[in-house]
Amino acid sequence: MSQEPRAAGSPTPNPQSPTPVDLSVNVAGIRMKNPVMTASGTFGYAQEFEQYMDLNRLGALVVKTITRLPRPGNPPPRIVETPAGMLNAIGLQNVGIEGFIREKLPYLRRLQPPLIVNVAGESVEDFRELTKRIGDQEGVAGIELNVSCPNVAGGLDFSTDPQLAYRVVKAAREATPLPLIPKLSPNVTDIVAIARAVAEAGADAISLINTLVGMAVDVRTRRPRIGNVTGGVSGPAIRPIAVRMVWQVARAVRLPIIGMGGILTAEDALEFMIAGATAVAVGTANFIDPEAPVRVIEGLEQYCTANGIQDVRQLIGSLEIPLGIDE
Amino acid sequence: MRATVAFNRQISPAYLQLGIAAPAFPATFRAGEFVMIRPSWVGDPFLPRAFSIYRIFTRPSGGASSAGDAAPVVEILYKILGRGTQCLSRMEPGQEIEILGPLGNSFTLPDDLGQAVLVAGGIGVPPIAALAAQVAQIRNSKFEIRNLDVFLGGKTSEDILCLKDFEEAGAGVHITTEDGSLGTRGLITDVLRPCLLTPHASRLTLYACGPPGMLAAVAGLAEESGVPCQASVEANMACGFGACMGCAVEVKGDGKSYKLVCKDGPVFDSREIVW
Repeated sequence: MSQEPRAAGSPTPNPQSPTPVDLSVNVAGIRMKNPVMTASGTFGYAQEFEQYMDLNRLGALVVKTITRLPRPGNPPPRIVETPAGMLNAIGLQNVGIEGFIREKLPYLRRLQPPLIVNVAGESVEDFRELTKRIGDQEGVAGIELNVSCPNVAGGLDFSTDPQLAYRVVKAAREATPLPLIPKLSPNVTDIVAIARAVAEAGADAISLINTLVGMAVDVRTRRPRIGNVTGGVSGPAIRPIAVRMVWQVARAVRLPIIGMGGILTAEDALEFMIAGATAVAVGTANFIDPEAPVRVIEGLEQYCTANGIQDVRQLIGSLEIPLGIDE
Repeated sequence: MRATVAFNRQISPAYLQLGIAAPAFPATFRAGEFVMIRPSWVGDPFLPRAFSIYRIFTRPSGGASSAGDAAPVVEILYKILGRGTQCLSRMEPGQEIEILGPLGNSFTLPDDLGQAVLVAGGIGVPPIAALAAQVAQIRNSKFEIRNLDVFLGGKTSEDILCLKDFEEAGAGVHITTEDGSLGTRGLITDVLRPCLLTPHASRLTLYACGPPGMLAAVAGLAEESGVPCQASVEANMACGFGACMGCAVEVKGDGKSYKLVCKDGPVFDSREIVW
């Protein structure tokens, strides 16, 4: 029996290994091998997770908020379970920027995924200084600006006023050439107005969303269930709100969006990407399953394979709204 | 890690004993360590719950049995107090369950330990029973049987658990109940106090686990009598491994400072904590 010589360069058909899916995305110059990162405040400084998962599988790493000085955090109780989620008021407990550079950064630098450091200031000048100091460090790929932590007294919330948000991002912009990613609060009437303000101030991407301000009461003692009285709600309970905000901002602002809010599975992540997110972050799910980000990455790949999608970027903003529906 | 419910049975009107067959779990643990447990589905309740490990045993794998039979079985004791434990109480043998651990630190037995005094209130008993078993194992070389005393307290006789374990460990058992239905009527500290305020107390170490009020009172007694005390404390906890920073406990120091129950504890030197 003779075989026809195969034409040079033609692909070898091999049903065992279908064309590999390209999961890589690029968020404001940060190259990620897949669109899955960790949400700040839910992943510590990564080392807490090393025994549970291969950290190098992550698309990018976002670590817990750093402030100028160390913060002890809020009095307990700091967390309580709520329907399909949790309420927290940790109070930005952290070792401060110098402690971070000394104690945490050397470990993080040795990991492969691009590192995004999250910072929070108490003033516009704080943000400028923090951004400059972090921006000068080796091994930092981008800076997420926490303009929206709901759990700290003293006017830390810069993201409910477009002008304040603008000033914070503008100051940070002047301090570093690194990609800047403000993380916006959902506790606003018009998320698009805030997103436009930070875009105009020079943001490179936008993280959506931080927690929603909430409260829970112990009816037996008539006391608030957390020490800070109010806290931030996270988990699947807030996902529909987050997806809606990603969709609204994606249509209004030409910046990549990192979508987050209650992502537990690949299907949840896909919702965000189809609504317009370039990348996603897994947050509260890390607490209940430290391998959750890996499961999301694997699920994304399976979805793409099953649906004949060769490049995950095809999904971004691919939402189809039936004809005749008035948006 | 994915595991299976081996058994889930009532041991008294309000308390249950849950066994979880977890193939990837270590076969040994140190008294005081804990696990995070949740059903394998995600939803309500959303967060896993923390439980001290009571015992771990490895079932002998018979010839005809399935491979899972050789898995270590992690045992916890629990009381139905809220949604989490209610849901747990409905789980049946064979159902899938998620378990993470062993987590946290453990009780430590100093080399020069003269007499161990164990104190447990209500559902705080599992790590104390585990510690008694651990002491019993090494006591031949280091301790005399009479040097292990256990103080158990509860509201009623139904809250007094694990008596058999303490007898097997050769411990002297002292029981108090608030209603007097078993042992001495009163609080655990009423009975504990005279035992600590003796000239022999210098070689004592206290080991305690129970409700916050009891722990604070025991820590106060320890301070008063100059006896070292290791206390296992509890807190609301989302992850169990130091990521959420939810389980803060205030410790003495300059200004406000906190430690994490999951990572720095659950066992603390009682003098370290702001009670």
